[in-house]
Amino acid sequence: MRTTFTALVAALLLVPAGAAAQSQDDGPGTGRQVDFGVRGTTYGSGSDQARYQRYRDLRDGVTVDFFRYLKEGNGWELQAQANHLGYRDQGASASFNRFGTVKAVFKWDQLPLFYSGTTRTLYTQVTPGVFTMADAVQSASALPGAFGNAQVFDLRQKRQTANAAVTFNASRHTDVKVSVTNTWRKGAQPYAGTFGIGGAIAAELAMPLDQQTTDVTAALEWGNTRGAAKIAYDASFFRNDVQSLTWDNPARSTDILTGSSRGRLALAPDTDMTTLSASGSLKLPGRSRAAAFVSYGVMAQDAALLPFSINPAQPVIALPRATAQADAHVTAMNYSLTSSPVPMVWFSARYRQYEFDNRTPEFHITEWVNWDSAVATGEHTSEPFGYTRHSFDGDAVFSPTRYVGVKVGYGREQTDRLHRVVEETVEDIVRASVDSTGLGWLSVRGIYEHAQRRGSPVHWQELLAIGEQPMLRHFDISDRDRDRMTGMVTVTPVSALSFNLSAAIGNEEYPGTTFGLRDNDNMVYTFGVDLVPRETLSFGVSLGYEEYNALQASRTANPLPARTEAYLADPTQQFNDPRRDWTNDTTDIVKTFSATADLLKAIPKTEIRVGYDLSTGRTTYVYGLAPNTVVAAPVQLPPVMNELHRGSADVKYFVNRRFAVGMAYIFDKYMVEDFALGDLGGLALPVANPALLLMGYTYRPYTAHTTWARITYYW
Amino acid sequence: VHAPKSETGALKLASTTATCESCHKQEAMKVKRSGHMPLREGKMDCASCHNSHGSTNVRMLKVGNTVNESCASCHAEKRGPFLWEHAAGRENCASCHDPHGSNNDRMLVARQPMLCQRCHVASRHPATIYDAAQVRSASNRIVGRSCVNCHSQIHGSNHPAGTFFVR
Repeated sequence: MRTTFTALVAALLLVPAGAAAQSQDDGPGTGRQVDFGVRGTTYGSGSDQARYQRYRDLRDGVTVDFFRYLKEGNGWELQAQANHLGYRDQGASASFNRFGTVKAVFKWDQLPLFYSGTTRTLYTQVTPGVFTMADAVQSASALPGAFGNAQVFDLRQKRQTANAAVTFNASRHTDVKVSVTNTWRKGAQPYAGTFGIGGAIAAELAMPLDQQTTDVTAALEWGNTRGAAKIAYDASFFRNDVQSLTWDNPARSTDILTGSSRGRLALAPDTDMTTLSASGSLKLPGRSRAAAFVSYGVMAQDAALLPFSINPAQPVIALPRATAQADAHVTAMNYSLTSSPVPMVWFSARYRQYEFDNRTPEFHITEWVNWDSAVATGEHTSEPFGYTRHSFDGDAVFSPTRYVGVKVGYGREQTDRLHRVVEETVEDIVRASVDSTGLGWLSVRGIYEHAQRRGSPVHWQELLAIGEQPMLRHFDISDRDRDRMTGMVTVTPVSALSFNLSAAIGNEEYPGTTFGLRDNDNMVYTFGVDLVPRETLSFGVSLGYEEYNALQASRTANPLPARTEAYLADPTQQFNDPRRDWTNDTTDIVKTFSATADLLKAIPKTEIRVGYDLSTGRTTYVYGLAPNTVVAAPVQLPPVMNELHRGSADVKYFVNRRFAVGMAYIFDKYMVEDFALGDLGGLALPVANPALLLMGYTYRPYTAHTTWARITYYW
Repeated sequence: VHAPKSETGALKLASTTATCESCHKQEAMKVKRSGHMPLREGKMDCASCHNSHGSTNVRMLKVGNTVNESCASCHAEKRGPFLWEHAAGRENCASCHDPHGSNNDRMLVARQPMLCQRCHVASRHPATIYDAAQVRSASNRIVGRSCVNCHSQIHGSNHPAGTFFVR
C-alpha cells in the first residue's frame, strides 16, 4: 500500500519528475559486518584543524566505524546499523519489518559543526547568554593589549537527532503512519552585536545554543489501483532555552543616557507550526490521472518582549504590547492532471497556490532605544509581510518515435504581496526541450527557457521615505528577463566507455533597475569520461568550469532633506547627482576536477577505491565610477581565492570470507586568501581605535593526512 | 538495476548523491566547494532535502510547501514569524543563500556587503564603496562578519527595537 500511495501521489503531483528512479529504502543494507580500526591524523604547520573536521570527527584513536546486522525470519526482517561509534559524528539506526503488518524504525544521528579550535575571547559567560568582561578592559584603548589573557576555546555546536517511526498496515489498502523526531542543537555559534554606528565597537560572541525541535507526523493513507487518499497532521515545536544575548560593552563600563555598559538582543523565540493536509489521486479514463493536495497550517509565537533597553540610565519606555503575538496562517493547494490519450502524446497541467497570511498585529513605536545607547523618537511600524503565490504549469510532450521526445511548456507565477515595494509580480515562462535517450550509444538532452517577470504597482515613494533611491529595485521582485539554456550529451561508443558533455548558460537582465542588481549571468561547462572495462573495474574523470558575473549599482550620497519627493528635482542635492554613481562587477570563476577509480576484486581478494576532488575558486570585485565622477577613486579589492583538495584511498584485502584487513588514507588541503575573513592581524581592530572585537574565527588554510588501519569481520 | 552498487536503494552508483550528480553537474560542483552542506562528509545526501520520486513542494523538496518551509524543517530557529520580519528572507531563503554550496561565507550567493548592497543603497553606509582602503582601515562594515557584525538579527527580530535587526 505504501508503494501504491507514494507512487500515485508523487508521480501525479510532480509530473515533470518523469521516469522514477529506484525506491530509496532508508534501512540498512544486507549482511552482518563490523569494522574496527586505529586512526591518526597529521597536520601541516599552522593548519586549521577545525575546518578539516568541520562536519566530522576524525580524532586519533580506536574506531568502530561501521556496523551492520541483518536477521531474517519467516515474513520478518530485523536490521541494525551504526557508523562512527563513540565519535561526535556517530549515528545508528534499527528497523523491524513484519511484512504486510508493521514496520518500525529508530534512528539516532549526530552532526557536529566545528568552527574553530583557536578562537579567543575577552568575555566570560556567567550564565547562558550573559557575557561579561573585566571592567578594566572595557575601553577602546585597553582592548588591543588585553588579549594576552584571553581565554582560548573550541567554538563548536552539535545537532543530535532522534527519530522513531512506525507504519501499521491496518488493511491491505490502508496504512497508519506515525513519526516523532526530536532534534537538539547545543554548543555555540559565532554571533555579533553592537552599540551604534560611529565610535561603537561591534563585538563577536560565542552565542550559546540550547535548542530543541520536536516534529510529529501522523498520517492515514488509503490506496488501490484506481486511486489513493491521505490525511495527515504535522506539527513542529521549536523551543529555545536561551532567548536573549547580553554582553558587556567593550568601550565603556558605566551607564549613561547616551551610552550603555551592556547590550541585549532577542534571540530566536519558541515557535509552533501545525498543519493539517489532505491529498488524493484518481485514475481517469483515457490514460489520465488527477491529483490534489490541500493543507492548512498555523505558525505562531507569543514570546514576551524584552524592554527597549537594558541600560538603567535610560527612561523606561512603555511597550506597545507585552508579547509578540506573531501569527501566520498558511494555506497551500496543489492540483494536477496528466493525460496520455494516445501513446505518443502526453499532457500535464498543474496549479499551485500558497498563501502566507501574516496576521501579526502591526507593532507601532514612537519612542524607542537604539543599541541600548540612544533614545530615539519618530515613527516605526512593523510590516507583517504576507503573500499569496499562484503558479500554473502546463506541458505537452510529443514522442513520435521511441528515440525522441519533444516537450513544450508554459508557466505563469503570480505573487501578491503586502509590505513590499512591488505589490504584484507576474512571471510568464515558456520552455522547450528535446530528449533523445532511446539510442544505446547516444543520449541528448536540451532545454531552453525564457521567462519575463513584471511587477506593479511600484511604490517608489516608500523607498524614498526610508532613504533609498526611488530607482532601486529589489532583485527578487523586480522586473526581470531571464533566458536559460542547458544541454547535455552522452556518447557511449562501446558499453565500457562513455563521454558526457554539458553546458548551461543563463542570463538575467533587470530592466528598469537603476540601482541594485542589474544583471546576473552564468556559464557552466562540464566534461566527463567513464570507463568500466568490466564489472570489477571502473574509472571516472570529470572537469567543470563555472563562471558567474553580476553587476550592481549604487550612489554614494547624503540623504534628501526630509526624504521627500519635493527635493527629487533639486540638482544641488548629492542624492540626485549621477556623478556619484558607482558599480560593482563581480566575477566568480570556479574550476572543478574529480577522478575516481574502483578496483573491486580485480586483484584477487582485494578491493581498492581511490578518489580525488579539486575545487578552485577566484572571485574579483571591480568597482566602477561614472565617467564624470566626483567620487574618490576606489582602491580595488584583491581577489578572493580558495582551493580545496580532497583525496582518498581505501584498500581492503579479504583474508578469508570472514576477515578483511585494510588501510584507508584521506588527504585534505585547503588554501584561502580572503581580504575580510582571513588573518586580519589582530582581534581588536583597528588597533589604534577599535571598532570591531573579534574571536579569531577566520578562514585559515590546512593540510591534513589521515591514515586508518582497519579490520572487518563478517558473520 | 541488476547489479546495484549502493548499500540501499538499488542504485546504479555507490550513493544517492553520486547518482544525482551524474546528471545534475552544476549542483555536483557546488557541493565540492569550500562552503557546503555535509554531503561529502556523509551526514546528508541529496535525498535529505529532495524526493526524486516527486513531492508536493517546489523543486522536488521533500518537506513543506515552499523553499522556506523546507529550510526551516532543520533551521527551525529562523522559522518565525517574528515581530520584525525581513521580507526578502520570508519570501525565499534562496534569494541570499545557495544551499548546494558556495565559496562565500554562510553559503551566501554573494559575499557581504555586496549582497546586501544589491537591495540597500540608502544614503551613507549602505551606499558606501567598501574598497581595499576600507579593508586596510578594518572597517567593521566589510571585515569579519561585515553587515551582520551589527545587523545580526537579519532573519528577523523579536526585540521591540529590532527595526533594523540590530537587537
